[in-house]
Amino acid sequence: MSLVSRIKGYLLREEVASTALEIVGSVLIGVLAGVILLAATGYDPLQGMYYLLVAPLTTPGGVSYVLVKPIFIILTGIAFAIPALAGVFNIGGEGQLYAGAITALAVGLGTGNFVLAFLAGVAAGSLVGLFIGWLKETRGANEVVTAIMLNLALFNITLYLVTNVFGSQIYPNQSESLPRSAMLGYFFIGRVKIYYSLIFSTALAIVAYFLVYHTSVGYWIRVAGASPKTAKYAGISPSSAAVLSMLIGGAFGGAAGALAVAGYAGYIDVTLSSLYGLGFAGIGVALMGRNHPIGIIFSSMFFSLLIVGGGEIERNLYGPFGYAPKELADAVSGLIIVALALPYAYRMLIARVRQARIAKKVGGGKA
Amino acid sequence: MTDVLGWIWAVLSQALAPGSLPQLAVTMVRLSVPYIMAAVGEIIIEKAGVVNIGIEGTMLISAFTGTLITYFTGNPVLGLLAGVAVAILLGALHGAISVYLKGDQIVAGVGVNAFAMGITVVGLKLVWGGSQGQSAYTASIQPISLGPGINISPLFFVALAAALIGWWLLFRTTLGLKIRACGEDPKAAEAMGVNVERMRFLVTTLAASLFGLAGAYLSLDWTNAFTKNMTNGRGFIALANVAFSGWNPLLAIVGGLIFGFFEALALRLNAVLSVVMPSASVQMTYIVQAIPYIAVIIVVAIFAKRARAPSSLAKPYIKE
Repeated sequence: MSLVSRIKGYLLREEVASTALEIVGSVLIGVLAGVILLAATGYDPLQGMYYLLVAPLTTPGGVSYVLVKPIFIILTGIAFAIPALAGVFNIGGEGQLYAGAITALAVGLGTGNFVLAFLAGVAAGSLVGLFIGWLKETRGANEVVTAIMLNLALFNITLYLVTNVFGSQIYPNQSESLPRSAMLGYFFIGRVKIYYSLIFSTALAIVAYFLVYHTSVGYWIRVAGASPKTAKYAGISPSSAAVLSMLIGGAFGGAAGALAVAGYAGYIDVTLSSLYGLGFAGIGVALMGRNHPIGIIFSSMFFSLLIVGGGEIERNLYGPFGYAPKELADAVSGLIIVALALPYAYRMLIARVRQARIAKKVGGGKA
Repeated sequence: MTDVLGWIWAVLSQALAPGSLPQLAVTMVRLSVPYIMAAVGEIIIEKAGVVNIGIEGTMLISAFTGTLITYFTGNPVLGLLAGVAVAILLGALHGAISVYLKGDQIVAGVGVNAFAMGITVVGLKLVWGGSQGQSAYTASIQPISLGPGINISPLFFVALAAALIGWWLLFRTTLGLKIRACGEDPKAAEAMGVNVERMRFLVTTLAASLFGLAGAYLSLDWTNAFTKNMTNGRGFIALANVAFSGWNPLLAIVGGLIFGFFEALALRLNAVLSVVMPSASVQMTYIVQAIPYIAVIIVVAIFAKRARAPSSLAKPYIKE
């Protein structure tokens, strides 16, 4: 008995250490699988890992590029994380992003004002989130299903609006471009180009941190997610907290879309290639950041590195099948997500190792 | 406004003209197959208390494997079996993660979907090269002709059989009772003498074969090539079908046909549009393509409330 309680005490003290182990372990599993895949198909795996994880950081251009995607995936990550804390699985970041992007484009073109465009995008995203949360709580509709259907529907509707309503008169493959006044610009540190919107979205992540951990709204959301029963005793309705979390999450998804247009590109292309996947990437980012807004800032940098590294692989890694496909990076990040689903397994592993060690000390000898 | 309404009426009445109904029905049946198959597989898995939202990714990998094996052997039946085998492996992975490693089942499913999106394109590029996003054409499963122009895939009947057998298994056999006990009250199941972990693992592994069949159907029957992201959300529509059916395999046939109908309608509307107003049809296509997804949301919003999920769904069972 005392042995068990000692192990428990040990584990509780080292909660942080085990989280770190989970994250590092997951990344290693994903990367290792990538190495095996490269080796199995005849590519030089070490060179592959160099292009995937190191090469982007060796040039100012590469670093500038790595610092672009986090603008959006910090925010789609938070769009996933806040509902997740309330126990809701927001896989609809993608649709919230489209809604935010197209609304920001429309308002930006109409008013020429960045603030209005941004706020409109945030509002559109939060409406999409609210709708999913409302369907879940009042109609019992599974949020995964409705969110995916909304993602697909909004993809098509956004395509329609980009081509049909906001199509450029000059360039056939994109919408009209926002005026300078409706956009955030960029600056240079040395030769590294940094968008002001990166600073903006990092600041929003810090706002999210305060919202979640230092306000009563954040407290409701966390209690409702951790224990709906406790929440009810404390007078918090878990279902209101869930809907509220989707409203807030959707707002961040919308903000990501708004910045993709008004903080970076200035237009939307007619295949939505600049938007597609940013919402889904947010899920991995949030899981790796363990749904903590500050953790998400760092994990967004890692996922961005992977995406840019995928491009490096496709340009530089030559083998028996031609240049290696950049989608290898997607496969690796998928496996990292699978491995991130396993905190209990890591904990069991740690407990086993400890048990063995303690048993040895006590003199039992058996692991 | 009346102009628009009149125009919509004109398009709809032409799309649903009596003469075109048989073809619409055939398309509906063709599109319903993956929704029925995958939903039946997921219903059995969820009845045992495990949720697998990696249907989409499993289908995609099976579709790719089916084409790959058919391409090298020339035999689509072998391709189909290979698709099923890969799905069973992925099912075993999901089973191991959710049953023995007590992992987060939803997260694991999302991971499989993301992995599939990447790995199938990697495979596509390695085997067939280029960036056109499509494999070479292969041999395909031949349809059964039930009359002039009425060709039905043999896999539609397999889907119906899967639903019937699934229903019979779950609700008319002792094994089914044990499976359902694992999903409703695993402690009681353990008291009944059921090894909950082993049962959940086996069900999660074996029922995933239906995801494989649904995926390989896409690339070997429906079309005769693999295309990048060819599942396009169908695994999630199957998930919607699970909720629609109220976890009843027989009602999953009805749900599959309803979702298939909306998709068939969208295809038909686009065909009519390209005749009625060729100039604008390209843009209108996008709006029409959104119809099936919106229809799914409406159907789910209407029917989900009445359905009750298995009590211990997605909760890992940890023996004391």
